[in-house]
Amino acid sequence: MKVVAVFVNLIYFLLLAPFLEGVMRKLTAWIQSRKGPPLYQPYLDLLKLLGKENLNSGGNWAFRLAPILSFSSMLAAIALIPLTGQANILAHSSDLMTLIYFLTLSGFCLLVGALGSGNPFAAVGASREMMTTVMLEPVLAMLLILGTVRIGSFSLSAAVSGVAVSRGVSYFLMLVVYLLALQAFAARQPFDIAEAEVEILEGPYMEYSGPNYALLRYTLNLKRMFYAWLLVSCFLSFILPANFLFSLLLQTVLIIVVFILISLIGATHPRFRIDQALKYYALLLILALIAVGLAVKGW
Amino acid sequence: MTILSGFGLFWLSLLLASFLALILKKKTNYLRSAGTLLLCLSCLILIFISLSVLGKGGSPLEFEVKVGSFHLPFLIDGLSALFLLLLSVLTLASVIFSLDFVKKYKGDEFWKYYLILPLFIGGLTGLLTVDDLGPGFTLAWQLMVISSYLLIRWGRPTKVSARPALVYLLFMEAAWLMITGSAFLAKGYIFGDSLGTVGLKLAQSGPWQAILFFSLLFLGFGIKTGVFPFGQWWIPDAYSTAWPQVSSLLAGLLEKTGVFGLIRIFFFVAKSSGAAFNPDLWGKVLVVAGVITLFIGTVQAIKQSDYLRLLAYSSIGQVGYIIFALGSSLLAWNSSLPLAKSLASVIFIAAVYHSLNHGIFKGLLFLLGGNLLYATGTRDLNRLGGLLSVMPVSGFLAAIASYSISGMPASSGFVSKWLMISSNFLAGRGSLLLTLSGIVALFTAAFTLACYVKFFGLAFTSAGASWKLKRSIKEVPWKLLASEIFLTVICLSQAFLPMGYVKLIDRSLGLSSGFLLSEAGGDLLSGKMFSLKIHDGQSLLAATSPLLMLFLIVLLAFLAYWFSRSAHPAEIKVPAWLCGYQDLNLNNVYADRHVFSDLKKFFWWTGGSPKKVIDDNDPTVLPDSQPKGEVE
Repeated sequence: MKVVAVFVNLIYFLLLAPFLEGVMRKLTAWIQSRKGPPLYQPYLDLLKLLGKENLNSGGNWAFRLAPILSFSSMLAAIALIPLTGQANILAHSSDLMTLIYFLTLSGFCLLVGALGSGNPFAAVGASREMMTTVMLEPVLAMLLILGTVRIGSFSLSAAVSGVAVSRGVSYFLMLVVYLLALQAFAARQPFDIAEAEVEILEGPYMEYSGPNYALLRYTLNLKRMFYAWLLVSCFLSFILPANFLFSLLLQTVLIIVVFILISLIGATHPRFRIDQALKYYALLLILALIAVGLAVKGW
Repeated sequence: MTILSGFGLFWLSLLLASFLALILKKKTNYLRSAGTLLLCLSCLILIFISLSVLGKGGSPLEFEVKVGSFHLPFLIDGLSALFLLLLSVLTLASVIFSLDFVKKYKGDEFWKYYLILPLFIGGLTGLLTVDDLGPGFTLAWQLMVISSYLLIRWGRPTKVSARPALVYLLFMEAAWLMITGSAFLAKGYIFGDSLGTVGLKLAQSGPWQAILFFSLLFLGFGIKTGVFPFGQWWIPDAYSTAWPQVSSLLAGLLEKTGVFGLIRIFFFVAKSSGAAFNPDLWGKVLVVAGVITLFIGTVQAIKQSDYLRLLAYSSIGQVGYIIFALGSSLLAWNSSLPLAKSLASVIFIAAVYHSLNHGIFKGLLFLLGGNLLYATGTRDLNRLGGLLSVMPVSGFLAAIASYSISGMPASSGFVSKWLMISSNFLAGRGSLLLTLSGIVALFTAAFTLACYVKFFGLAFTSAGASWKLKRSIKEVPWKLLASEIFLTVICLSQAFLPMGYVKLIDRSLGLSSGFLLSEAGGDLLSGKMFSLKIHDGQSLLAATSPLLMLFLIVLLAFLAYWFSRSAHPAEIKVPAWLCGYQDLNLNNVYADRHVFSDLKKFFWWTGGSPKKVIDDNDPTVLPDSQPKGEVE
């Protein structure tokens, strides 16, 4: 059962992630008074991209390897997670630091690929993406450490369930921080600074095409879904039923709700400049630090 | 061969190497082979010594050498042996690297390098083996300081090297004064007492003397390891001035002898001085100093355009981690919680583990910096780029080294940082200081990553060196690469055999008598060869397995590969689309000074802004400089 759980994780995320992008695109279109593509459009996009030719502008192995490793380390992070609060077989040899670093690795590979493409706009995007990672990754870490502080264990399932174990001041403060950081985690407006289509033409993704681009798109979808899942299972774990199927069902509904939220904010906000965003992230960092401090004191 | 005679032989071959350099002088080829052979021999002897202390049936070795009226007490216990092992491995790599690297220097530097290097190695060995704060320490310290001063002095044209070398010398002498002076605070101290005796005498002194004693030693060894703000004053200048293979020893080892000193004082002398030592106070001091050092050092590293300076600043940051872990270990040991108390030794092991890891990968990175310098002649990241296609092996090794120091999954940096941070959080549950400083340490890991993405990305991927430098760039000679491959293999073993190294460190601590944490005990840390776990009774608190992580990534990468190639797409090589520009040139390229510019601005208050990078072939620094022209 515990081995099967790993595959359940992977299949659940791989199947659902493009659909959520469809939800996001549809909603954004409605808000902008467009009809929008059908909900299954992202699946078709992926299939179409798989059939196109792979253009290689960098001419080095870093450029070619990057999308594959970015995708695989994102999947590795997903394989670890306790989907419905139950630890799987990998929990015996991983903990929350492993998760955080797998997520970072996924971003890291994208950056190396972007720098390897030899395109200055991609380098601009990579630089912005890295700055975002530097400032935002600690917020994710602090969310999980909040759970660790409560439960006193570094394991992932303990950390995830620990966040909502007692709902004091620190819980609500962390919830606020996470909601404020959500757009940035999802890389949507006002924080799609690294991609910024109209400004630097998708930044890091610029030189990628065909199957490589399909992998990177898929990775981005998985990443967004992961952060939505984390919101649901960290902060709302107490309302999830014990039954696996019901829990999964409710989670899916809640994740879709989170995506609706992301699309609403995304469609109605203009983009920040990176220097403005950095100040915003610094504020989030300080708030998250206070939340952890409060949790240490038992609040 | 007994250990003692081996030790004698070691010194003999070092002195012989020095002496031959004096005789052979201009016969460069003989000099190179003789120096390399003798230095390698002494390294092998050193490895033999440390392995026979650490190996089966080994035991600490204590002896005295009489020089004039002074008795110099020597002690080679488990901990010294461990650091001696690191020393010999790094020296081997550095010496083999030098073989071809020093060919560039035709002048006097050549034989002088082979004259001084053995003495430097001797000084470092002395520091790791003498057991006093008096004559023996002074002898070893001065040998180390003066030889490394000269090596730094000759690393670059005098115009740029004179000042950094002098600053280095002054700081080291100040540190020496503090360290040797501190011992006089112990009641009834006689110049030349062994460390244990100093501790016992300190127990009889007043409380203020004890505090002053530890403060002076903290400052002294702090200057040496590069604690904020001392590190910033000498480390970046010194490391970027010396030859890369010397910097590799400076960063990999000279700093670690400072860590070794801190360990000797706060975990050995502290024990014998009993109640005179206040673990709570000193734990806090070390944690705070460590956290500030690791944060500031790493943020400053991001700002650098000179890759040797970048590596130097980053090594200040990494040493900060070690000091932080030492302090956190003291606090955990002093805690009333039983779990924290038994985690103290785990955190301590993490600190030593990180010292070994950092020694290896920073040594490796400096040697790779040497590759870049050798092949391109510039130390400016703004002028590099796209070297991956011309220097594939160096690029691959740099990727591994950068990956390791960033602490990405399944790397040696990950294992030691994981051990350090997870046990720190578990032990520090309920302690605001430990929790918050642990978060800063995690936060800084992201900066380290940014720093090495920049280093690797701008030097090896990206675009440019071929047209920015106007010279043909080739892969470096194989001897340079061989030394680096040697270090890379060790670096990988540190990642994939974590339990092996933990056992080695544990054994070395078992072989060191008078260790503060020895009774804290508790076997919380367990694991097979390839994995590490922290248990509390039945419940699993934290676990990692680098090999499994690698397996997972590779397996999923195959899945990704299969998925992306499922429609058999054609692969076409195209030029990068340059956003409408005709070609890349100095005006539209995204160079190092632009990377992370907003982050650099945001953290302006950390200081360490880069100076203009000046290369050795810059007309302004050449000895007989004519009119000073613009470089680019």
